[in-house]
Amino acid sequence: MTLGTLWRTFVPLVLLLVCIGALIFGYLRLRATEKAMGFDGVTNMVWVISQTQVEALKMRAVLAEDPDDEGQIGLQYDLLRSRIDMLTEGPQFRFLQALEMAETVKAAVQPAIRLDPALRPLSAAEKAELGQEATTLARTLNRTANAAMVMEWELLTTQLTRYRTAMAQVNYSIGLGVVLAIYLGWRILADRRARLEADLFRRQSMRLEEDLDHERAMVSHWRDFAAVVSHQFRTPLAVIDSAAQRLYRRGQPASDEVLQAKQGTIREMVASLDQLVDAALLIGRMDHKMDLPQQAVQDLAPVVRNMVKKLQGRYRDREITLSLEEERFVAWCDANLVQHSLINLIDNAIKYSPPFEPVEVRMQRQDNKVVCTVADRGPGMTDAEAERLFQRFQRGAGAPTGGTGIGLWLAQRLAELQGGRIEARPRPEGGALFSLILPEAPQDVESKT
Amino acid sequence: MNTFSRRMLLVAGLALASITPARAEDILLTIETASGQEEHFDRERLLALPQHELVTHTSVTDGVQTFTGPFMRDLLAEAGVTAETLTAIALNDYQIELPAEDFTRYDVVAALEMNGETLTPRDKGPIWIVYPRDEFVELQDIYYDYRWVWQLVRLEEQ
Repeated sequence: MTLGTLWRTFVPLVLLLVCIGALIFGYLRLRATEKAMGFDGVTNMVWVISQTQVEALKMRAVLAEDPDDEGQIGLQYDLLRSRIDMLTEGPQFRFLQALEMAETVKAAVQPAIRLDPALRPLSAAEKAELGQEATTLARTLNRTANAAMVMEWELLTTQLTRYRTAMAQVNYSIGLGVVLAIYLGWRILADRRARLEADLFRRQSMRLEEDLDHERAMVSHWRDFAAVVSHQFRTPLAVIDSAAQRLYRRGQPASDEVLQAKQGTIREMVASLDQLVDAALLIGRMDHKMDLPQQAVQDLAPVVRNMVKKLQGRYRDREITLSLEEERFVAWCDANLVQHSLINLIDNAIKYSPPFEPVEVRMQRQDNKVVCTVADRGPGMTDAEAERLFQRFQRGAGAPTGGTGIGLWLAQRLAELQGGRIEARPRPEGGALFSLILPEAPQDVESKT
Repeated sequence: MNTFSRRMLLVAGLALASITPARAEDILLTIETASGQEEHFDRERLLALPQHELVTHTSVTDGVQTFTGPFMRDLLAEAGVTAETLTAIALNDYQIELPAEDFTRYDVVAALEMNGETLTPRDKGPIWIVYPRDEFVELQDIYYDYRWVWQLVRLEEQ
């Protein structure tokens, strides 16, 4: 266990236990005090003793007032005896024993008990003696009451001291509990804040990383672009340069035919450069996830029809035909990328076939796939060529000057981005067939992958 | 130490003094109603009420004691007492106020006998008001102990 872990887990746990322990201790102490509070049976002794004293004094008074009133004497004696009996039995007597006054009191009450008028009528002398003994008894009881009062106050003081100690302990334990609770609360808040800050920091780092990834993608994109440019742009640029030089060879202007031919070459080269730039930018963006295919279920028939019409306009001296087996060809694709892909295939077909041969575009449906085939009547291909066909910067054996070696590679990449592919095979009657195959619905893509 | 208030009242004479001498010996308890009317109870009249046995400790004796006598509420009903507070007066002029509610809430006995022996003024008689101390914890307190009036001879409706 590291010091940090110890400080974070073990110490707070111990503090929490101490906190709970302090509060439990306080609670138990309070409960014990609550139970101990109250008076025990003998805390009333001053009253009991003094009442006996009062009855003794009244006994003497009754005897002095009318020694012949037997009824009154008997009643008063009963009252005195009841007090004496009470004082000399049970808890009251034990209290006297604790006071060390038990024997004194017992001796003092003996004459009064002996001179009971209920046992036999008392003589005048005995009545006088009873009066005398009652006075003595009253005096003894007076001293006893004094001692009882002191003892009761001592008991009370002890009890109060005990309560005060208990209360102080309760106060300390509650104070300790509260302080620890405050500390733990502060720790919880501090930890929470630290966690929030860490979280914020983590999110900031993540954002930074994302930004960095994005920047890396950008850099990578432009590096790829630069690679394509440096590698591929040289050829067309060299061709343009050479054509331009021809225009002014030996200080005299070229003939009209040469001029026208060179202009054509230059335009062709510029067009392929344009295409190169487009392809490099588009694939770069896709590769680095800066753009993603905007796929949807859509009818490709009008898309392909428009595109073919546009190409027919561009290549006026070439024959480009389109045949659709059905009215609608619904596929899961990005129409823009499909167009790009197909334009590359058609451009390729035009480049690699003689000018008088037609290029045929055909759309059909096969096994839940939309297949768009471009057929040319060029030199076709060998199996070895077919394998390398879709690699970047690969060019066919009989490639004309204007090729960049990027068209088929780009078309294949775009098809793959949409979950589709391009297949190339020789045309049985001569030439080549390039088929762009696209799924009809997204499920087909998933089941395929 | 004794938190309850205690009053010593100097009365001119015992309650018994106001009663005709011929009957004074027989009368154990006098109950004075709010209207000033006095109801006298001799032993016969007290025994005519339903008698109940109450077994309990007391604060002034050791061990369990068995008390017999009518319930205080029956006694007060017999005298027609309806007030919420009563003054109890003992032979020695001990005087205390008792809430009548005690007698409806608890089976408080006006004990005439203890352990089968009749209570006399020599002991704690003629009547000892006894609470069922063992049955209720709250009764085991000095707050109730002082209501155990012994040598009871008079009750006054407030």
